Amino acid sequence: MEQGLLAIVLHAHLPFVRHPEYPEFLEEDWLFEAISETYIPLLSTFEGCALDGVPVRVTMGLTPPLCEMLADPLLQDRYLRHVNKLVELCEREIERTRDQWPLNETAKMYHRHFSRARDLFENRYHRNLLNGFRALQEAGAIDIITCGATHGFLPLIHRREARRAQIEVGRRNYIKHFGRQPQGMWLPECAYDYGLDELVRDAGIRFFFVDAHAIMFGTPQPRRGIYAPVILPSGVAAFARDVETSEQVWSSDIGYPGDPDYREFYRDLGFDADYEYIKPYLHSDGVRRNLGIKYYRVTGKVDLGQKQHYVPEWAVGKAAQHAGHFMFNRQAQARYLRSVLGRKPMIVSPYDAELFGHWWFEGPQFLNYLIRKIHFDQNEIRLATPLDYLNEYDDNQHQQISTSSWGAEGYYRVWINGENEWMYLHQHVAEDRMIELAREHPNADGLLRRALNQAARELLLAESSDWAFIITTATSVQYAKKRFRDHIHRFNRLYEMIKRNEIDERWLIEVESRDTIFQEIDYRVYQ
Amino acid sequence: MFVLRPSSPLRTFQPERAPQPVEPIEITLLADIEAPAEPYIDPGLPVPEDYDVDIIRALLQDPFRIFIYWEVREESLAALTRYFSAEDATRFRTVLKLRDVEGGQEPLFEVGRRGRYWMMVFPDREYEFEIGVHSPAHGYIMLVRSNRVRTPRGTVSPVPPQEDRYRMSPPEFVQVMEASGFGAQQALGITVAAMPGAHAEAEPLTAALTKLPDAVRTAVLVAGAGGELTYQMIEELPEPLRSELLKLWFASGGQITAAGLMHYLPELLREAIEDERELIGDHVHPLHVAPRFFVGASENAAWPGQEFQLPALPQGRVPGSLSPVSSWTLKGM
Repeated sequence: MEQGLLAIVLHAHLPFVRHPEYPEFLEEDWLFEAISETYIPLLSTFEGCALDGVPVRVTMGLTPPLCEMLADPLLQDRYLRHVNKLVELCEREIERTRDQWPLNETAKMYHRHFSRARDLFENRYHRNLLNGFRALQEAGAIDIITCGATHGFLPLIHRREARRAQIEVGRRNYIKHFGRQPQGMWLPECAYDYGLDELVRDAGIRFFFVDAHAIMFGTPQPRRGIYAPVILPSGVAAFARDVETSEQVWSSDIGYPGDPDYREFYRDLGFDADYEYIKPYLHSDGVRRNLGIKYYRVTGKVDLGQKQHYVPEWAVGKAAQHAGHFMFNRQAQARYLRSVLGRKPMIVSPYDAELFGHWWFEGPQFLNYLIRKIHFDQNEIRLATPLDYLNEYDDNQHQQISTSSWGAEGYYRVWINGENEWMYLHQHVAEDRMIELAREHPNADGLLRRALNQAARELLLAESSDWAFIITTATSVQYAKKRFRDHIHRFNRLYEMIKRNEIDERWLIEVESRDTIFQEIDYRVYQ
Repeated sequence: MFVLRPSSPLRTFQPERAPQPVEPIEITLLADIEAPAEPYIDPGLPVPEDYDVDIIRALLQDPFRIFIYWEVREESLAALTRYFSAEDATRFRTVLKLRDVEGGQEPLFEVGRRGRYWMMVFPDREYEFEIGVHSPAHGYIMLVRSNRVRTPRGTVSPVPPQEDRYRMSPPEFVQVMEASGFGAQQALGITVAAMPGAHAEAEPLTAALTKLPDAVRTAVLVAGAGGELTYQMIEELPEPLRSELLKLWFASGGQITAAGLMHYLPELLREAIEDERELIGDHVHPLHVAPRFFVGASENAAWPGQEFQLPALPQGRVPGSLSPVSSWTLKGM
């Protein structure tokens, strides 16, 4: 007997990184690694299930910057170059390790992995993975939701018009890539502030996700806790993250990815191999870097030098075991929650998609087993999407949810703190100026229109929450600062050119060719 | 604790030093550029130090903190005082005014023409800020006002559902809270887990608790042990804790109020030891902000120094039993 519904939500996002001015660029590898390790394995998992008649019903959030990059011919070419080099390296690795078990098996596994990724990328998806995701949605296997245009942290975008532009540009981009109106939205960083739901409603979107305390601290008290959506005053539904399931996959304390049999992320051939041997596969700067070929497993709490060899078949077995464990816990959780709440609970488990495959190499296999086990091995829980739930239950409690995000400590600290506070004056002035320009030029055309559209692109790119996030987490700080400054600088120069009616077309062409995101953009979205 | 006050001494606005303006670099798209021998760190294009505008904006960080930045022009300030005598005009000072919309307080802080500032505030209130000038003789004159910011409550609502089909008793809501991971004891366990180096022992928590005022410490210990808060206990708490919890107590009783207190626990402890980074050291808690794309960038790999380790799945986990301490990280603070 069915006791509850489980919503797996995978939020796939990368900031827009595209540098035609360089022959290769380190941060572009983020996309290439995610293609090989996450997006193609997820597509294969879902397609395999669908072909076998197994309902998938997973929700995929594909953000506009990611969609734009996946559809970009330059990045597609560069991905092929990237994966070709990895396949070549794998061939050499098979030869180098031919007398070493289990290294040789692992080398062969990587060769199959990258060769297959290359083949699928080129021949099945015709270089654009969106073809695969779109087909899965059309087949009813997955629901794809949209996001803010550049993953802008909406509560810290000051002007309502600028918030609306993030949502509306995201909506239009979704239609461009998927040929239909989006029904759901991933609020960037699950960040909610009063009134955002009205903008989401105005874009024709029916639901979004929030963190658990948005609903638990909402008014009035939620009768079904975080296990049923609430309806906001605007009529939009908010689904809350279930912390129990999040922790089982995410947690650095008890999460599955820490199992000793799984692949160790930080032990990479790019650092392990003899320098002269590996140099042809590094970037032209010759700096050692991760290549995605890793021969060691987590092992336990030991130094990197004491890690044991990775055995692919052990890891696959563990993924199956963990899928069974996860499912069993959800069955028990659903039984319990139904007894408390008086209705089948909707357990919402959202994750960053890149966790599966890139960080947790066996993650896609875990999902594959989980989806199949839920279908074949039991009848107490069912995979469902928010739309499935809303179609099944149209009476949900009305509530004003609380301000919140899914960032550290639950509010906005990650994106506004002593390290990144300096950014907001620049961003907010640019918002004011963009709105001013859009109102001054209600129907521009020709060169002026191009300049206005490019100004809108630069503002949207500056608003990307990734820059403030990266600065806080102290990872690629210089790159994040550079990107923010570059976009603000270009925006300001465009503003001044437009105000003076002196547009330098040569310079504009250059900027247009760099920041190519949203070719469909219409600056009037800021009016 | 919880005193309406500046969070730090006022500091002079010191904009980041922008690089010298340069002409945009000519690029040849897709050119076969010879790569530099050493990694090149591009600082990015210059951005202005100021914008020659009158602006003040307030940004929420959490229920207890608001960030404010402002910038006003010399001529705007001068215009405010031009109707006064030259001697009077020199006595005007630029000030930042905080307006606690519901609480009625309107303190002034002397500031510079440009600045950024973090303000400690109360949960569940509305605030706005102004920049103006003030003189002892002529009082305050506003120049520019910020947006209004509403701070979140940071705990459950005292308002029960009114619709019949969602109506529930306080004990039923306690059950809902616990099922959702928001019970009082769950909050305590999560706070302990979020403290650096505190995964196995409660020593950091104990040390921090000793720094709490007696009334707060007593209430926390009662709530953490699964008890209810009494009216007398709440009456003895400092503001605004007292006011917030009294609302809950009158509406929902002592058990829900105990959970409410525990939702505030991380902030209470942070205030007690006055060093948030030392106490709640999870700068970016893994449950909230997960490893993301950037872990794939080689420049960020923790190699070969700091190692990322994920311990194995614990043994003996009982499926379906919602562990009171394992499932939630307190988001209230």
